[in-house]
Amino acid sequence: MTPPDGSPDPWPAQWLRGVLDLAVLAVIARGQTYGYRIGNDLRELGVGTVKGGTLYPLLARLEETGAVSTTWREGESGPGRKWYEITPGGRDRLRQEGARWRTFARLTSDLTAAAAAAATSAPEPGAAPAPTRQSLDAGAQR
Amino acid sequence: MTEHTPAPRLHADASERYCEELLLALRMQDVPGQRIGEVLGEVRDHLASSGEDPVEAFGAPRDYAAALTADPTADRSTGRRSARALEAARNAAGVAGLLWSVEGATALLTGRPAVVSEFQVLLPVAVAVAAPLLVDVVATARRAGALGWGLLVAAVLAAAATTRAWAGPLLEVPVPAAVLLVPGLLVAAAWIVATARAVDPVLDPLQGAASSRRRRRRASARLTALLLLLLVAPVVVSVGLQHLG
Repeated sequence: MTPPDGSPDPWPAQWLRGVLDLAVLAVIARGQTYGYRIGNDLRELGVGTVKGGTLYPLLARLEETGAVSTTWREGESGPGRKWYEITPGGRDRLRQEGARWRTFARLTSDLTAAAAAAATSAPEPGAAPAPTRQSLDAGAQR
Repeated sequence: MTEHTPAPRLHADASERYCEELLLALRMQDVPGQRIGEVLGEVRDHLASSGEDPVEAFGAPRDYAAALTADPTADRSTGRRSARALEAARNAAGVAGLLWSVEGATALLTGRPAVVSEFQVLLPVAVAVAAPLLVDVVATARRAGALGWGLLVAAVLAAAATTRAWAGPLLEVPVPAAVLLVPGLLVAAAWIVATARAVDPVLDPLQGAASSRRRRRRASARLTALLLLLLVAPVVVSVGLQHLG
């Protein structure tokens, strides 16, 4: 998997854990769909490869909480297929959590951008020296 | 989106093997039959569409079953243990009921007094101890496993009845037939009804509610017939042997 920014590394798993519910819900909100297609869409959108072992339990939780409704239909080749559709409750959740996520992402972006800008500019004369790695670690231990 | 078409036969075999193991793992987690049918349906559809290796896509069956039933707010293992203990106690009571009924009915039909022996107490306890292990076999809902268990119990009861008819019990207290027959039949009937009602076959999600109900009723009827056989067969064998004797 390659994120759209061209970085060769996949998104860290801990980032995906936090936002995967929302990403899956957003994919389902685009129209009625099924498990394999949701996984494919996530990959094509650059979210990354989400294995069945992660995706289907997540879909089950979305169904349990009423965010999506499901119907079974005859599959194209043999087995039946479970179709997912977002519910009004799911749309509300997507709207609210989506807004919170965007705020959080903006905050993180601003924070990291400011730090990156500070790192590229020379420190002002008389300013306190930037904390060393050691002092940061010591702070984290307190 | 691309749907893969891998070597169909080989892939379908791997998919079915995985589904069998997953079915067992989900039964062990006490997942209802209807939900199991849905899980298996989705796994089959995903594997048929993607052509992926089942373990690669979903992880080991036991791990996938655990992921599907993960509920951080509930202590499932405690609940499961007490459910198993209750089941063992119910089975012990049921087997005791069967034994008392068989002894009482045999006594009634042969005109001899019924005998309370160590046998009527020890065997149910033995079954209660063995039941948690055997339940796992029955829980796979594989007909062969369930039938095998039923036949094993029938064989043990028949063998015990035969031994008793020939060698006689170690301890014996004669009582009127009704003393064993009436409570025995009540307990056995309650056990048979409860067991048949608890039948929970794996249901095809494409089947309608009416068809699922029919399937459930058929499974209940089959189990009831099997359990009634456990009641009737030992009586027939025991009475026959006593007549021969």
